[in-house]
Amino acid sequence: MSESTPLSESTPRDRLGAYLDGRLTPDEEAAFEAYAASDDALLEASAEGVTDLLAPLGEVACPPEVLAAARAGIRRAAPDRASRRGGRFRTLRVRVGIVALLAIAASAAVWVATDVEPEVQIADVRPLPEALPPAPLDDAPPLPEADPEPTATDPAPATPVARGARPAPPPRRAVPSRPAPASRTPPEAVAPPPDLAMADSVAAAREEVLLALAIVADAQGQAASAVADGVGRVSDALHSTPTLLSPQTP
Amino acid sequence: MTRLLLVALLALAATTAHAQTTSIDVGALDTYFQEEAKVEVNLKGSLLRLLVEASREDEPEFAEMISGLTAVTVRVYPLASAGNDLIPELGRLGDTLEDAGWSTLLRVRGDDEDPGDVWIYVLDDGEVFNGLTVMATDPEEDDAAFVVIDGQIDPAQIGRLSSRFGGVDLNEVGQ
Repeated sequence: MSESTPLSESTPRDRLGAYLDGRLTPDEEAAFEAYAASDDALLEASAEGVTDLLAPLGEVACPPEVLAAARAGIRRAAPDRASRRGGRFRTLRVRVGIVALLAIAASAAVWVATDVEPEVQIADVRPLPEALPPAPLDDAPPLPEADPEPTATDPAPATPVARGARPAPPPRRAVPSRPAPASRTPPEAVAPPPDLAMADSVAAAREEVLLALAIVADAQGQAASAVADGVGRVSDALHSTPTLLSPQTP
Repeated sequence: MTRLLLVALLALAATTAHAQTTSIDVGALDTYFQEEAKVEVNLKGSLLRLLVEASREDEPEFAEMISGLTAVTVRVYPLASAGNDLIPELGRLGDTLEDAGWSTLLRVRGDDEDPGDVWIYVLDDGEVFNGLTVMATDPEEDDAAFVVIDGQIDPAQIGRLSSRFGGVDLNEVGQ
């Protein structure tokens, strides 16, 4: 936890509420994200609070798919991806990542509180500083204890193996929506921890399905173009034979 | 002897049932090309289900679209590495599919203006398709793409694909 962050004197829960409500200024948001990324206590306190809220619900078994979705949200909030998608969505994505992590923490806390055997071990959940390194926001104040260096557990890029072998050539035609490269290393060959491997696999699978759909759509477009050309030729032929279109004149 | 005949008949029935739902043998596609596939996708089982769950909140339409799929297979080859008889061979593959119960949804034969060939086959089960196979060649882009989608697909959803996912550049994808 950083002693010199602007938020060191504020109440984490108050800041968390204001952050989630969008009531912080951009500078305050950036500072809070840096603060949250370096303070496990905030996460634990928030998890306790959520646990209290969930206590009346009794035993809740969080399915692994929920954890996977939350982790996918964290991955989408990672700085390397967010920076590519523009600054406008960066804060939102980081916020989604923090909320997702809080959800994981809350689920884990419920498991612990109710002695329910978890389907996914809590050890699979990475601490916040690793899962969400502070984003190098353009307008953010200096972060004293932010560690920009990648760690061994940083998420591997979702980019499939084939990408990056050589620079991609410029597109030969307009591409309104293009999935990322699809070839990838099978999940079994991925070295990162299981939760990261799962998130990577899901991200890669999404790109692969989009690729398949794109090829189908492309084939459909190609076919539609051919059909349109054929219809055009028939139409031209019909118009060139007026006796077929106009009533027979006596 | 009777028991042997019964077992043989059951085996034949099982083989026939399997043939009716099996699309092209993507592994055999390698024989048509001198070079390896530049894109290979083999998705099935739990990973697909996990993707559905992971997408359900953020992309509900996408999640619904893929929720009935059981496998997605893609191969993209450089068309220039194919032999001269590729188109007739793919035509024969299409005939095999039709013999196995697949319906030809679309067949476009290339010409001078649009030299690409397209085959789209579906396993038609009335309201939904239980499978989709696409074979497409694009000489301008030097691609031969094959997609096999197993599972339930709504035709209406397929119709929406063009506007949402069309325009993929396979040459860039394959790098």
